[in-house]
Amino acid sequence: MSEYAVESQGLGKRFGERWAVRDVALRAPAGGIYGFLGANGAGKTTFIRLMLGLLHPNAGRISVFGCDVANQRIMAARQVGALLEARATYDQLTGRENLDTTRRLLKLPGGEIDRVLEAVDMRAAADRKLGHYSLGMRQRLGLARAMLGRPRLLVLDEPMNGLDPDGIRDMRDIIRTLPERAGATVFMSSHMLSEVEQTATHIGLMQDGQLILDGRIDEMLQLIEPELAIRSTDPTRAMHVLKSAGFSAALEGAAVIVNAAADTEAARINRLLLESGVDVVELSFRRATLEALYVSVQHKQAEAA
Amino acid sequence: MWTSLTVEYHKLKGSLIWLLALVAPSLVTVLATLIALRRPRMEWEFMFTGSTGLWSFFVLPMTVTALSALLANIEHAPRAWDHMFALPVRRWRMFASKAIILMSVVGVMTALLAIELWIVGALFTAFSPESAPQGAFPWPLAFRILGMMWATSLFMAMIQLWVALRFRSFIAPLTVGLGGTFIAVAAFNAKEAMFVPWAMPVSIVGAEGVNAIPAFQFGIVGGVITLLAMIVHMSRREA
Repeated sequence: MSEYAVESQGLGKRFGERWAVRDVALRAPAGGIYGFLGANGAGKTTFIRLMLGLLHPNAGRISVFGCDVANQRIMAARQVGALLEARATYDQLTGRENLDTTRRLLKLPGGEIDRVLEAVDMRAAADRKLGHYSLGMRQRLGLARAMLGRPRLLVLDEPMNGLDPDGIRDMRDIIRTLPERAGATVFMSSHMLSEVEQTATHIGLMQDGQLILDGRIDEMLQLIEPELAIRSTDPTRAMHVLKSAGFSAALEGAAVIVNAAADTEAARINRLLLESGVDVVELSFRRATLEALYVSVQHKQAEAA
Repeated sequence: MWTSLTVEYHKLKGSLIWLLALVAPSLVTVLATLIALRRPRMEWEFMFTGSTGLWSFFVLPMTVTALSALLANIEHAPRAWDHMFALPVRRWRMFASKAIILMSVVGVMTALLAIELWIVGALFTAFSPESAPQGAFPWPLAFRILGMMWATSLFMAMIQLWVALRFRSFIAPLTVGLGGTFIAVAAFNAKEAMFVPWAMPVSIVGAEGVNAIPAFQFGIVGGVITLLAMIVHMSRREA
């Protein structure tokens, strides 16, 4: 049995002359939450559609828990539950009836519906027609549908899209507990970096159809050099002083940002500024964020190009 | 296969399909009754020929057009195909189920037409015996003619369903349906009408006529071939 929930090698998909996904080798380990990042049009959705067998690859292969999607689609699909489109539900039916259509196709017992409704806290609204559902409720119902039959892999395509802050928080809380509660690996695409950062254990970053980053999120964040934000009485002068001392400094609003990893460097900078007649108001380390990583990788890619 | 069929059936809940299935044969019955009332006395044969003519010439092709578009739209409107295709279910079963449901609804409508005609006769016998049709309702004739019409409509229904499933827009099946009906009207009375899927059911009206049996055979053979081609094409197509 494969230790990877999703594994692709040299995967490519072309629409006309344009490669939407090109030479992607991705490995999403079983048991975690894989955040699949990228701007709109980066190839995330195409990759997910290839993973679900909705598209046929032009190159390479992709497998789910070791089952080749192209040659063993049914076996691969048995391992997967997917939330692709919140609106992909039948408005004329109730929430329970919507789940029942999928439950019947999967040949599951009737009690399975109550289990998944409970998991997404939707039992109270289950007998209302979907026309009366908010987008957040539809997303949760879609997630419940994806959980039918306890799939080993849950594929969520932009699950936070269009949700209000409360809806985002609810969805985030549900997703975060899925590996433990449902025993499933979660593969979640998003362009909301902060949400992925709060949820994912692993990330993959797509750009122009290529996977440019893939690994554990904590390891990835270590690639970012910590930054020190300095607020002072004279930011421009502070920047010149620090640059003359050999620091890489830049102005960001009223603060000067310096690449500095250690406390000793912060102390040295403080002393340097005071000696130069600049009063320091605040010195704070900035936590390495996914957004900073994303920007840094994009800069590197642009420079390489 | 049975599971896919029951799922498709459950999806019809609250759909306009059932309303259409009730209204279409009722309209034909009402119109045929009004026409028959203009004669001194109602006659089963006249009523039956008039209603099946109206049915096969215009109402059946247009209803099949609307039904197939509505059936496909159950998945198109909420963009549910991706969800369906991502499930561990053979795709051919989904399309075969849609085809069976379509033909079943057409069958229900056809049966309703016969039943409503019989009810009209019974009502006249009860409340206005002087204008009621003479004798018993010709059930054997109704079974034979309407049954053949239903079977013959398979060809046209499968073409309409294929187009409706293939294209998200309502316009495509509507255009094909209107175009087909127009050709059927233009080809009416011509020998070639039995080769036009939308005109094949009309050829059955004169069941003793020379075109009835060939049209019936072409309808079934063409329908089965189109059904198989549709299933193969749609199952292999990327979602």
